[in-house]
Amino acid sequence: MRRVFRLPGTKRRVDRELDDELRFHIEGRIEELMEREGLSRGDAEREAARRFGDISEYRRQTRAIDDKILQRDRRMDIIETVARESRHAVRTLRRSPGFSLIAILTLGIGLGAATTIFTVLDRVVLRPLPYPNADRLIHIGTAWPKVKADEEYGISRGQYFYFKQQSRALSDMLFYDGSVMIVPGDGDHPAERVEELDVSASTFRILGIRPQIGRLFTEQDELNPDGDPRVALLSDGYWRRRFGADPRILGKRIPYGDHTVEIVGVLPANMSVPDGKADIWIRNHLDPAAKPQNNHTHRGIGVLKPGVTVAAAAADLRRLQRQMQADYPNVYSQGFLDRTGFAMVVRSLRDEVVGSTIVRALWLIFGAVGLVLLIAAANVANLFLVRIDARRREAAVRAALGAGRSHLAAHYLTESALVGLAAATVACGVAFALLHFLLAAAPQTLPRLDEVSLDWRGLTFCVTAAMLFGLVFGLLPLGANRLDVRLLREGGRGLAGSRARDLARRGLVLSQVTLAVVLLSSAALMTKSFSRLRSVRPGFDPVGVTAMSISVPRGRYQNGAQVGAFWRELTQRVEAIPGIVHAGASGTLPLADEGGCSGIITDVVETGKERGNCMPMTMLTPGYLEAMGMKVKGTVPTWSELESGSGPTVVTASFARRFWGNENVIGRRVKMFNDQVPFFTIVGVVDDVHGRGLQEPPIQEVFFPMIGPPGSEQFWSPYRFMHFVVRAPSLSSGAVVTRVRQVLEQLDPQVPIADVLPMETVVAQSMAQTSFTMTLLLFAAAIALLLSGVGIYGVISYIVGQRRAEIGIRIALGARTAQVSRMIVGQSVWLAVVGAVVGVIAALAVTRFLRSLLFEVSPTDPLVLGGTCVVLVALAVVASLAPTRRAARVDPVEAMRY
Amino acid sequence: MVSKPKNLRLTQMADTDLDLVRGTLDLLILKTLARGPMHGLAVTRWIEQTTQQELQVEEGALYPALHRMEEKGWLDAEWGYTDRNRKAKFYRLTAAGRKQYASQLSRWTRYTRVVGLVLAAPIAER
Repeated sequence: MRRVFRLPGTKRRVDRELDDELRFHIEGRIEELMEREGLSRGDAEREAARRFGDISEYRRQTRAIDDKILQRDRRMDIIETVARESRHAVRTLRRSPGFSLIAILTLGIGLGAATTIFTVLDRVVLRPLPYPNADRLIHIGTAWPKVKADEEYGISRGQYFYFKQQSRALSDMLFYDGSVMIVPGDGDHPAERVEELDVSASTFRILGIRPQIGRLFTEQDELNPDGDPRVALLSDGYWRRRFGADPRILGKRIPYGDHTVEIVGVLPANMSVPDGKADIWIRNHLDPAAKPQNNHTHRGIGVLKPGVTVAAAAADLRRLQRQMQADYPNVYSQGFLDRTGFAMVVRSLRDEVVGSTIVRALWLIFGAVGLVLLIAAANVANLFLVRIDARRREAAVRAALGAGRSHLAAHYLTESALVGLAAATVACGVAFALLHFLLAAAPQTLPRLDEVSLDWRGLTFCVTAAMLFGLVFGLLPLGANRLDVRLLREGGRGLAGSRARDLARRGLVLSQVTLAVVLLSSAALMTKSFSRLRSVRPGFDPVGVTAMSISVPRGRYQNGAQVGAFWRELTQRVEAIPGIVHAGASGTLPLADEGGCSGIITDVVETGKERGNCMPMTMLTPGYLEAMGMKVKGTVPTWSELESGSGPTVVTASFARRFWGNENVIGRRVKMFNDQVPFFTIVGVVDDVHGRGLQEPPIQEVFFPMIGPPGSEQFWSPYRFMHFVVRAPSLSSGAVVTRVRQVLEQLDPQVPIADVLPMETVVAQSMAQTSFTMTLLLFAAAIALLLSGVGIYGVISYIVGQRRAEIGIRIALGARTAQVSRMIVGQSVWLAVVGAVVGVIAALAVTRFLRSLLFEVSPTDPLVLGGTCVVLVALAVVASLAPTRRAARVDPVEAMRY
Repeated sequence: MVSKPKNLRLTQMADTDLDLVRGTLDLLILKTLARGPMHGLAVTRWIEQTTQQELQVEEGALYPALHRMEEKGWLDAEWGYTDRNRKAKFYRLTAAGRKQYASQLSRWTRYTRVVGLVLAAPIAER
């Protein structure tokens, strides 16, 4: 048997071979029948056909099997090619470990940073909230622009029913409000303050929350009046912490505040309303028959009917609100509407939860790491370009041996895809580590952080980007390389790298410098912002101060006088402890809790400014101002003054300026917006306090004393919930709390402490978002600088290598080292200068997106932009030092010989 | 209608017999090719000769069987030339095919032995 050369199969070939095979069989039979049996040709043909059977059917069956073989062969072929090319590529990459390692690490780090931020962005911003039909949930609130700009409030029970029953845009609605409550101590557990949510029964249905054990609230529960006991649900965390996850809790009544609640169910872990956590959930008392009231304190969330847009829902709710105002003129009087500018606020729930500043900051950081990734990719592209030059001979040999473009493409693509895959692996590790770091450093105000972890979407992003870059790098040689067989003749030397490729290389470095300028100037702007923010004097001295919140239960303290006596006793006993300098309580805490506002009447009637609609105001005990280290001009109220009934009041400097200009305000009088309240007397002015944030203007606030003048008792009684502040420079926060707790043990063990925080932490947290953004931008800028430096170094080294002969000639002709050095460094600086100029233009275009994140710094700050350019040029000089030294050491004889 | 040549004895088989034959066709082909590479016609002829034409299947049925066995990797196919210098497709047992042959053979032997034992047992009443 002689063999025939076998070619790879095609459909047509398979067809032909099958025909040949069958024809061979039948012909053979016919011949045999004619020779051995002596049949005529016609008879033999018929007999052969009979013996063979239904030829078309057998052919069909066989053909189907052949198709399977053909497909399998083709698959095997592809796998074999890939395997072969991969083996080859791994071999070549291992032959140049320097190239491979640098390419993989550079791309891996850039990709890892991008993957990290992508994951955060994806989880926090892009992904829907973790509720069913999350894209159909809308936030419903109210704005009172004439009372307080930029501030929004909730909706009322009346609106809830009005909207829920009449809206054409909403299919359902939920309603809730949060508060704090005291669970009294029971021997095993101390008294503690818990977070409470009062929710409508629809909350669970809409948010898709099912009980872990027991039941949820029903609409019937909503109707039951606020009697004893109310039905309540426990959060998973509180159930475990306080009740040891005891399932027999169901049906039990526990003391709660001044009442008892009956536990009917336990909620699953990690389930809550969009922006709040609670230990205990109480059903909201919702009676559709109740008269609407002007009490807009609840959060409202609506579910859009399918296909309804947020804008349409907003229009619908505004229409209903107008209708409601007409229906209930006693709730919404014209005077009220005019005075407040009352209006509905409707936006998608996700926008409400995530918040626009955070979104902008995250996109910005994503943009920054995107630029870093591009810079990294430019470096790797440059490496690939250099490699192409080095391997032109190899390519030429392959071309000469008959490798077509597609063959070479497969070869290069496999190699770059391998680099991409390896980089993706590195990137996943980098992203994993960075995410941990990031989550630890992220401000607590960043929403949905607990949802963040490296997941398949992040991995997909990483691998897809890696493969895309791999594709680009793999196609570079095809664009850049003519398959020039002449190379072989010339021994691979002499034919200099093409001009186009040189330009590409410089272009890559130029764009690197440009991107680095953009990044560096952004980072510098944020840094400057941050330092400006840090240099703001908050109006108090946070060092050595510990804040905690203390709530006084009703139990032993039924009336205001008793509550007041408690605060006085507590303050004085704590101040008596060695090491504690001052202690006092306030209704607000700067940078943490803004407290409430009230209409204010001053004694300046003639100026027309005597009324402030919603002026920040709070209640103080003596000792608070000293404990916070607020500087007071005038006198600081004391307990004896308070008890004397003079109502000694302190205002902030900007409050004083607003109402009295530059007058001395000591002795002037002020009171709450109620004509029946007696006036309080101002005894002191504190330096301005940045209570809402260091970047915000100081607040115009009144600090009323805990005990007012005679006649004020029915309007002004001591708060039960206050921030208690202790100044003890020599003690740690922990030590301070222990001592305060000891005092409370003696005074009343049923009074809980919560929210213990050093004031320095409070200040740091208020700057957390700025410092977070700054840190990340600085990080990105640092990597960008490093990579740009490497890029410049690479190109200058390459140029020196290319011009060795020329440099040799120059030296031989008497050029001095300094001249040669100047020439090389000049090349580098020229690149940097051009890059910086383009970069500054780009930065001017880009940094305006930063504006809302900046504080007292213009996005076009000339110092920052100029400084950035100087840094880049300096970087160019440094990066070209090593190649310059190499150039200066060129031996003319040797350089010209080769 | 062509008259059947009288020296060609056609064994009429019941359907059940035919099924049996189809099931064993693989084994017959394996056995045949164990002798050496052969093209389809030669396989047919050899089976014909060794069974003295007692066993007859439609010759066309051979080809789906051959190609299926090729797909399973039991056979290798190659084009070559016959003694008469005709181009033909030759089939050859692969290592896997040889293993398959051995296992099918032992299964068949065991099966027929067991059936034989049962059939040979005397029918006696207790």
